[in-house]
Amino acid sequence: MKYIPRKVNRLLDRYGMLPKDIIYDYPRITTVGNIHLYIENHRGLLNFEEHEIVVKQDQGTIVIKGNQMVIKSLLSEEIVIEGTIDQVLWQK
Amino acid sequence: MSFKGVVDVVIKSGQVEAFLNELVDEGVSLHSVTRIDENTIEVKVNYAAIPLMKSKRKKYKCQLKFKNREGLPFLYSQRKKWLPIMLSVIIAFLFTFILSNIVWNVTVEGGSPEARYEVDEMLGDLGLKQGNWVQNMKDISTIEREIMNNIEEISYVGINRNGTSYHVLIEESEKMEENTQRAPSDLIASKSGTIESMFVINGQPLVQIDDFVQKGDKLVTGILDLKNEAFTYSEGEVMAEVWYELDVTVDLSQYMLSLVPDTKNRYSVSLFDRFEWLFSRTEGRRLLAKDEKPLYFLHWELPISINKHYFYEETEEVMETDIEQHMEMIIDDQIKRQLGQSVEVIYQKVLHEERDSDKVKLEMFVKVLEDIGEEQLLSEEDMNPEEDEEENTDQGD
Repeated sequence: MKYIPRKVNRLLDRYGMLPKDIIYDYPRITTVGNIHLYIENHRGLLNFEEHEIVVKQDQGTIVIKGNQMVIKSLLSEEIVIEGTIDQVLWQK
Repeated sequence: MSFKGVVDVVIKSGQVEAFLNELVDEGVSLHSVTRIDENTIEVKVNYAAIPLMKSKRKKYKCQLKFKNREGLPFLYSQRKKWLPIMLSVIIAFLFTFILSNIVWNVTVEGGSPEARYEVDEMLGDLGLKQGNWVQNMKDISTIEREIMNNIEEISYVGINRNGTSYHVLIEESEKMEENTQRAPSDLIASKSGTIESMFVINGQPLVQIDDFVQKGDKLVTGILDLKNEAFTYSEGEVMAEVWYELDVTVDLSQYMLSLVPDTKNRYSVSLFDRFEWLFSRTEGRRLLAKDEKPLYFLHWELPISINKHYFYEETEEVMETDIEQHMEMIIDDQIKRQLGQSVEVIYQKVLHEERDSDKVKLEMFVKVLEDIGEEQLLSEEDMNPEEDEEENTDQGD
């Protein structure tokens, strides 16, 4: 959705024609309990440690804190994290 | 197990995350990323992405260590390890398969040594021989029948297949002592004619050479004395001149569809009696017979069988017979066809001849020599008429 101009975006949003994550290119985070966490639409991995993972996004970073975390798979649009997840923080 | 191959890579670098991001941007997918210590990370990468990683490592000052290799490409590159084992397993299977299709042992049991020898030889001719392919052998039931038909002394043949060994059980028929047990009988004339020669083996002849006998006349009797006390069977050959009037029709031209005896054998493989692959085409030929031979593995019969097809070539032809030249032969042939193969023609004359477009009708007078003796058992009355009377009087009392 990178090619849709901002104005058209706002129109689409106002009339509720498309979901917001697609229109604004926001990351989407899904968790399964506190053991799995999926981030779609990320912009890269900034830091990766067992207790802290920092993922870049358009408006800043997402910090995931937990224990014994492993990146199950790392693809260009998607990250799958496994482990014990305690916190998800949004930082501008 | 993956087709494309997966490698565990240990990456040691000051800027691991940047390196990973670069790889991801290039379209490489990473799996099971685990942190080992501050500067090292372990990643599972597709085998195809390795060259790309190697090309990027200078830019990020990485140290790459390739640990575990999984998947088909590595399995293939390590074929030196497993190929000999696989091959030997395959060869072992092949050997067992080949050896399972060979006749290993044939034992013949029962009967006298002579009969056993004879049966053994016959079995060899039919393909049931040590060292022979099972597929080259005739059917077990065919072998049994052939032996029963060809060796007279044998009354029973049973062939038991036990894996690759065959156990043949034979039973010899006991020779019947016919002479003493045969019922008393007469020889009577089955046809009218003049007796030409006689050779009586047993019994008392009642006629002489050159006698003329009617049909049903007694030729040899089994009653040996006048008092009707001693009886025997009658056996012998009574050759007599018999006359016949025959109608013979000869075709001058015949359309014949014949099979050329030269057979072409074709092999085919069939699976589950359903799918069949014939190895080569046969055009214009007629299938006459099909032999199905299953393959064996150990003592199991496999659903695969090898079939042998016998193809014959057909030819059409019109036979023209020249009546003038082959008359004798054709008539002789026709007579034998009508009267039986054993008769001997001693005189023949054409009484009437009639020609159609392609047929000749002949009315013939033929004199032949044939055995007219026919055995007839003696009836109770013939043998003891007096006893019958006594019995009757007993009942009267």
